[in-house]
Amino acid sequence: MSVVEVDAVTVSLDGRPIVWDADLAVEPGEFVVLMGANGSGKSTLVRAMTGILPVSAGQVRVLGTPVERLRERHRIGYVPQRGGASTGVPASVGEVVASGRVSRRRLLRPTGAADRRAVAEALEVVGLADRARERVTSLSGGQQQRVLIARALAAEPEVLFLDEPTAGVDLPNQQALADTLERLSATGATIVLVAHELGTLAGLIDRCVVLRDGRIVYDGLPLSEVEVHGTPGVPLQVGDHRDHPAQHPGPHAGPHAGAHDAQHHDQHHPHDHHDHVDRPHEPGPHDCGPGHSDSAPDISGPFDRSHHERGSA
Amino acid sequence: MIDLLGYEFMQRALVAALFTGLAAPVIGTYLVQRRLSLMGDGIGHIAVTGVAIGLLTGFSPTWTAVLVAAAGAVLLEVIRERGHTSGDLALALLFYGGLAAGVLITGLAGQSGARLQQYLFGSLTTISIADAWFTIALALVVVALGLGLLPQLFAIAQDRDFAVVAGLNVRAYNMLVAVLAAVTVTIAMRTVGLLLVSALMVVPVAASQQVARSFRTTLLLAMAVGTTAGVGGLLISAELSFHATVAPGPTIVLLALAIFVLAWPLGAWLRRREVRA
Repeated sequence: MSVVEVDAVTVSLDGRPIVWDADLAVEPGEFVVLMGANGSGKSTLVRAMTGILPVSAGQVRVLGTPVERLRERHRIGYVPQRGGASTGVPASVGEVVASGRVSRRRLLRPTGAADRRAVAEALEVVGLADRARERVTSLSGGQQQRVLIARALAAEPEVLFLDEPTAGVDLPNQQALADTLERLSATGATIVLVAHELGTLAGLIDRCVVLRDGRIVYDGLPLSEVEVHGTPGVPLQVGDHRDHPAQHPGPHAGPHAGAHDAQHHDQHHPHDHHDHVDRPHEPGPHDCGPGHSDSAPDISGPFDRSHHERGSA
Repeated sequence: MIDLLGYEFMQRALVAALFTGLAAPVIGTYLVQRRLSLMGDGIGHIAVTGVAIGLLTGFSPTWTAVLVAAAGAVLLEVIRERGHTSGDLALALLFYGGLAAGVLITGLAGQSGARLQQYLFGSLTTISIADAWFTIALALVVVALGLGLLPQLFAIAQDRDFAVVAGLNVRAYNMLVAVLAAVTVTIAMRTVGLLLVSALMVVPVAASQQVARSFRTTLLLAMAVGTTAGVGGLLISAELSFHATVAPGPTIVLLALAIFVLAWPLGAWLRRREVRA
C-alpha cells in the first residue's frame, strides 16, 4: 500500500487552479523530492497532501485514508516553508517543539513523561538540546528551521512532509538538516520534501518529481546533478539557465559521499530499493533533470508527461 | 486604608478587581500572540450596545453585554477568517456601529449618559453581590479554559497550518478564544470600563513579555501583573480619593502601564546579558 496516494488531484486557490490533475504514489520508506520553479505548484501540492488545502478534484489518501478524514494525525508530520513564524508573545524552543505533541495529547491532560521524552529526543536529533530554554527568535534562521523539524519529529510521525526546509538556510545548518533527514530516513520513515534546489540533500533522494505550471512533468530516479554544477548553499537566481555539462546517467552517480562526512555512524544508505518499475507512469531510470529546478523546462521527450500522460488518469 | 477595607462595597470591589486582573491577561496573552491586541477594544465597543439593550429592556446589562459581545466576537472571527483584505475595515465598521448603537439605544431607554458611563469607564465601587459572584465565576471559567487548553491554543496561534496538519479544529478553537475574549471584556467592564478593557488584557502581557523567555512564563507573569495592577490600582485610588476624585479604572490601567515602563529596561538588560552569555 502506498503511504501517500495523490489521485487525479486538482488544487485551486481563489478559483484559480494551481495544481492540475496530479497523480503520485509514495511508497513506504521512500524519500521523494518535489521540484519545480517558483509558482510551479510544488508547495501547493504538498499542502494538499497534508490536508491544509482542500482539493477541488480528485483525492489525496495518506496511510490508506482520505487525508481530511485521517484521525491519527500524529502519524504525519509537517514542516512549513517559512522559518521562525514569530508571534507577538515570546516562545521558547522547548515550547515550540512540545507543541508538536499536540496531535498525541488528550484534552486537558498535563504533559506526560512520554511527551517530555519525545521532545527531548527531537531536540537531540536536530542538535538543539542545549537551546531548549531560549527564545526561538534568538536563534538563527537555519536553527529556527531545525526547531520546526524537531516540532514535527516530536509527534514521532511515519510520514514527514517538508516544504523547502533548506530555503535561506546557511551551509552548516543545511548539513545538520541533511544529517537529520538521513537518520530519519534510515529508521524507515517516508519523506516527501519540496525543494528549489537539492544542495546537501542530493545524496539522500530516492526519487524526483518535477512540476511545471502545475503539472507533474517528470517522475523518476534522481540525478545528483547539483554536485556536478551547483555549489550547495549558494542559491541560484530564479530564471538562471546555466549549462549543465555533465549528465550522469546513474541514480547515485554524483560524488555525494563527500557531502556527508560529518560524524555518521550508521552510514549505510538504506535506499537501494529503486523498485518503481511497477508504477504505471514510471518513465524509467531517467535523470531527475537538472538538479536545479528552475531548469525544469529543459526537460522534454520521454520525461515530459504532459504530452502523452494526459487523460490516462 | 484598613478602615476602608471594612466597607462591604470595598470588599466586593477588591474581589472583582482581583479576579478581573487574574483573568484578563490570560485571554490577552492569546490575543497578543495572534497580533490581535486591539480585538478586546473592538469587542468592548460592541458590548456597549449590549449594555444599552439591557438598559432598554430591563434585563441585567451584564448579561445582555455578555451575549451581544460574544455574538460580536464570533462575527469578528468569521470576518477575520474569510477576508484578509477587507477584514480590517469590517472590524472598524463593527466597532463604530457598536458604540453608536449603544449610545443611541441608551438614549431611547431614557437613561442618562452618566448611567452608561458606569460601563464605559467602570464603577468598581457600585458592584453588587450578584455582580461580584458573576465576575468570580466567569473569571474562573476563563482561567481554567485558558490554562487547560494552553497546548492547543498555543499550537494554533504559533502556526495555523501546522495545527491543521496536527488535526486540531482550528476554527472551533478560534471561536472559543473569541467568545472567551467577549466574556473577559464583560468581566472587566465593571472594573476598568469598556473603553479601557483592552488595556487590562494587553498591558500586563506587554510588561511580562519584556522579561519572559517562554510563552508559559509570559502568561503566568501577566496574570501576576494583572492581579497586582487590579488590586493595587483599586487601593491606590481609594487612598487618594480622600484628597481628590480618583477613579479606580484609570488608576488600575495606569499602574499596569507603570509596571510595563519598569519592565522595559529590565527586559532590555536581560536580553543584552543573554546575547553576551
